[in-house]
Amino acid sequence: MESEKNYLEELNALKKEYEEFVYIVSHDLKSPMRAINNITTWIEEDLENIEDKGVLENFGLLKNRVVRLENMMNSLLELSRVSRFEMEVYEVNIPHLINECVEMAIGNSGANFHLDIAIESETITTLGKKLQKVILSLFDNAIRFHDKEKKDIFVAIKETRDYFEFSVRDNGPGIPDDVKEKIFSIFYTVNSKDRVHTTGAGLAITAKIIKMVGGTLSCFDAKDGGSIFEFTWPKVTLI
Amino acid sequence: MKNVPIPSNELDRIKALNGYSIMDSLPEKEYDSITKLASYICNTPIALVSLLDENRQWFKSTVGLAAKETPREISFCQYAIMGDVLYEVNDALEDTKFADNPLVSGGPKIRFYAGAPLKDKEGFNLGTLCVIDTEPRVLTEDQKSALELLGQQVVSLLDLRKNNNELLIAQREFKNFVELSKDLVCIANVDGRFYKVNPSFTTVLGYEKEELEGQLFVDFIHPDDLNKTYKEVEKLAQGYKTISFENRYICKDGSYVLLSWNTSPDPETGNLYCIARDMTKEKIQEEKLINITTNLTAILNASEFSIIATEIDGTIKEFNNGAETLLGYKAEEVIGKKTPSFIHLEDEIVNRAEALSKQYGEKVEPGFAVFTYVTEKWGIADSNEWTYVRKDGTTFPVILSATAIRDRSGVITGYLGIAKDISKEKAAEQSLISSKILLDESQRIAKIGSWKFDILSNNLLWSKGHYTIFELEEMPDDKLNEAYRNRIHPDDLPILDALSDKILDTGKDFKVNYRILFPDGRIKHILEIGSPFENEIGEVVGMQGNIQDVTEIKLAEKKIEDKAKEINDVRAALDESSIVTITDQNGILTYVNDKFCSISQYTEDELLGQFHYVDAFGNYSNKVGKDIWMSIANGEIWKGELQKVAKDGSYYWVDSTIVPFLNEKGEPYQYIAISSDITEKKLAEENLNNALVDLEKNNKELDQFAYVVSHDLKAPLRAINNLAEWIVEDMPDMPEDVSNNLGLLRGRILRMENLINGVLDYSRIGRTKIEMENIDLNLMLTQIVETIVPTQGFEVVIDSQMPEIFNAKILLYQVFSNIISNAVKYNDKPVGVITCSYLELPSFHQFTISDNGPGIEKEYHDKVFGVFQTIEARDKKESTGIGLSIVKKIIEEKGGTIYIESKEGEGASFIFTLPKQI
Repeated sequence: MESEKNYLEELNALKKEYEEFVYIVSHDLKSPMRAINNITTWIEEDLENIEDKGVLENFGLLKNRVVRLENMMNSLLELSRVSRFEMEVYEVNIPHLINECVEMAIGNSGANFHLDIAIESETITTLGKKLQKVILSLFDNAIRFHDKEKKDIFVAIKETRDYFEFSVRDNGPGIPDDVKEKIFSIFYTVNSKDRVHTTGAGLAITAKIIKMVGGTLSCFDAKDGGSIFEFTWPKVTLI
Repeated sequence: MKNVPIPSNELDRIKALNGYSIMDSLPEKEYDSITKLASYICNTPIALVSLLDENRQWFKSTVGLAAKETPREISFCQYAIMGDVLYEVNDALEDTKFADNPLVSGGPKIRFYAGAPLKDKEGFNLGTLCVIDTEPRVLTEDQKSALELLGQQVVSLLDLRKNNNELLIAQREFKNFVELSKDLVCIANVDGRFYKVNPSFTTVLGYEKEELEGQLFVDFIHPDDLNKTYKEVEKLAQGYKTISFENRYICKDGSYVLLSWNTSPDPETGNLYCIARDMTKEKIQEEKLINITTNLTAILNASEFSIIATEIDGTIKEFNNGAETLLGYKAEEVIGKKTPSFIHLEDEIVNRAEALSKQYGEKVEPGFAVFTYVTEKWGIADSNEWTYVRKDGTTFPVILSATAIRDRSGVITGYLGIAKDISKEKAAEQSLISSKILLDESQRIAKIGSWKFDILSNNLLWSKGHYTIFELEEMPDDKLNEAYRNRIHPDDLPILDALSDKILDTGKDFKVNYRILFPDGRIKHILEIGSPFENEIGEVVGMQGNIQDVTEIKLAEKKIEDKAKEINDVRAALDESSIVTITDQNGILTYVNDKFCSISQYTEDELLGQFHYVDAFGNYSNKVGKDIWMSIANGEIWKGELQKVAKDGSYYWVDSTIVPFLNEKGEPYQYIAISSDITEKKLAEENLNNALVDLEKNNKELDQFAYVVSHDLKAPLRAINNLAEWIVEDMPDMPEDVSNNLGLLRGRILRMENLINGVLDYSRIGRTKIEMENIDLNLMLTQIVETIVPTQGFEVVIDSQMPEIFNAKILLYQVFSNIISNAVKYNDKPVGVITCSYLELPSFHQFTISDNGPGIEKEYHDKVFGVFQTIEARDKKESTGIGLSIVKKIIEEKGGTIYIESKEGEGASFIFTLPKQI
């Protein structure tokens, strides 16, 4: 038991360190980041009258990287905040929530959502913001990385005794087997960040949320070549 | 009272009068004729026959007078009976004796009286025949003679009456005599038939009178006795007045009685007057007497009795055969000698004399008196046991009964001593005593007693052992039953009584337990076995049996019971607290408790009869199963943890102790397993294992994360840095402020990169395994100083005693470089002095790095080791603030300590230790 205690202490220490690390990076890097942002703005002002194409192009790239860096920092901050912010527990109507998320995700992407909600109890008292974040994040991913004109997204919700089971399937490009594990890592993107505008933190944050509430998240290939993301969400929230 | 005349023979006269039984008899016409005649002859209105008893004159017959009687004292007749001749009163008024007589003065106004006395043969004047008139008168001589004659007629009538009376009495008496006689009395006709029989015939022979009278008496005589009877009767014809004989008569019930006859004939009628007596009883009696006499003679002559008769002084008069046989003397040898000297033991006589003296409080001399004292004093035979001495000197025991012989007047004339040899009885008694002692002893040892109960006498007989068990003194049979009942526990008595009744009904053997309760409250438990016994006609007349004191057995049983209860309690407690199973020697479940059912999720029915120790793996082939059987089958206790499978397929863990129960051969006959549920503990262990796995995984994840973050963040930073550089290169003539800004940008980029590296380093500490090696600290410090410390404005002193240590080189490099770079970075003196010194402690290396910088205020001594703590603003000093926290982390993970000694303005010393043994 003594050893168990030690292990647990160590584990907690490690978790704390992890949180600390994320915190350090996201907070303490914030002031140099802001400085960099400010200086970049100043330089942009200084270069107002410059017409050298090469310089402008380079400066444009520089600006892009600064924004990306800032986005990354923000993502990191968000990741660090997963278990500290937006922790309100309230009653959520799942079909309503799905519809909201669909609306928010579609935007002007022209994606088609197909819903199959087979649940008896439509409401759940849970961390509503987190659930919304997860659903939205998966919807966003399905749309964002879609490579086809006709974007079909299939959403199925089932119910077991203890969980709701969510399934989000797309007919997009799919995910190569060798990177399926990596996609949940922070800042990982299958393709270059220059091609698709993303920091690569969405799935990391989603995974962290699901892990926090005690659910599971996994990713499969769909038969028609797309991807399926499945996650479970416990009916009872243990926080 | 007037002087009344009383005859001199009055008493006899009254007696004689009574003899006629005439007083108050009914009127008779013979007497009435006489009084009528007297009245007629004397020409008087009244005539009477008057009889005088003590108090009155009573009139047997009256004419002309209604009265039946008058008091004697006023009668005229009382005077008349005084003389022998006619008594005449011519005028009563002129006679002084009668003038005031109420019969004269009142009714019937007598004036004339004449009475002839009625003189019987004995000469008593019983009364008178008298005539009475209310007028004075004088009788003529003829009249007087006639009256006297008539008086004699009355006497004749009285005589006749008296004779008749006596005859009647005689007849009645005779009849009574015959009727009441116990003897058989009868009259037989000449033709040989019963004419009259008395009731005794009925009593003795059983026939009714009517059945006998008119019958031939020979029909009732026993055929064998007929001739004898005829012969006897013949004698009468020969002129015998009376004959006596015996013969047997048949009774109505067929039996015979012996009758003894006396018969006389009536010479006139020829009838036979017969009297017979039933001789049967007498005959029997006679026979008895003969028998007794015979027996007595036989007894007296029997040789086994010694009979010695003595004179008063003990001199032997008679010495019978028995005495000769028993004592070995001939009669002629001892007659005339004095007993007891030669046939008794001196000691016994002395003892007896003492005993008698004591008993009767009177000195009894040791001599012949000891035999005679009691019989002489109390008149009874005195029987005692004695020892006789034979002629040859040998002895034998006898019972000697001494009796005084008295003559008719009760005077003692001698003594008779009758003795019987009781050697055999004594021997038998002795052997009986021995066997009884043996029995008693064995009963005492076995705590057994025997008893016998006689229903008729209600007497109880106990063996000594029985008394011992009941703790009673021996007592008479008739007292014992009550004592016994008093001992029985009151609650058990009705049970025993009911049992007793039942046994008497059924006649069956029985066995019963009961308790006896002693006055002091002790209780004994008794087991009784018995059976009734019967008489020859099969009636239960008693019971007998044995008892056994089973108190100890009962107590032992009680103890066992208590123990069993205790064990049950313990088991119940165990059942409450533990999982308990019992299997037979084959491992088949014979018992499971609720806890086992609940943990295994099987019902008791499903479990019993199934193999146990067939664990989660379903057979014994696994190592644990083998291990268990190896132990318990050899009689050893097995202890250990087992994983089992419940009915629903889930696993649970128990900590079990399996105890084999051995039979007397030392072989296990059952196994008891006591287990506790340790599933939770096991789960916790599992959790711990999981935690370890998690820990490793998290470690790895953190590393990865740190790498990814630093790598991915550095990528845009480098890009920015490069782009800024390119922009500067592309604009050789750029304005100065743009150039400055770009420089500033690059500075910030650099700092950010450092920061990211620092974070990375910090997170890696303690996780990355770093090879250990020997480090020459002197050399290492020199290199650090060359790399970090500017050559201008600093003085560095390195202790010449710096040791060589075995440790992780890169980490120690970081420690020293961080501290030294801080000293350089924060130096505010024209010449910064940095001193590296070493002190060897018993278990530790201690290093001190001092500077002459601004020093650190006390409140920051701890803070400086926190992450991202810098005392000054970052812009002023390019520091990540991660440095000292890394230093502290490294030193503490190596097992050392670090602290600061400093005062503001006087420089600071960083003192840290590292353990010699790692």
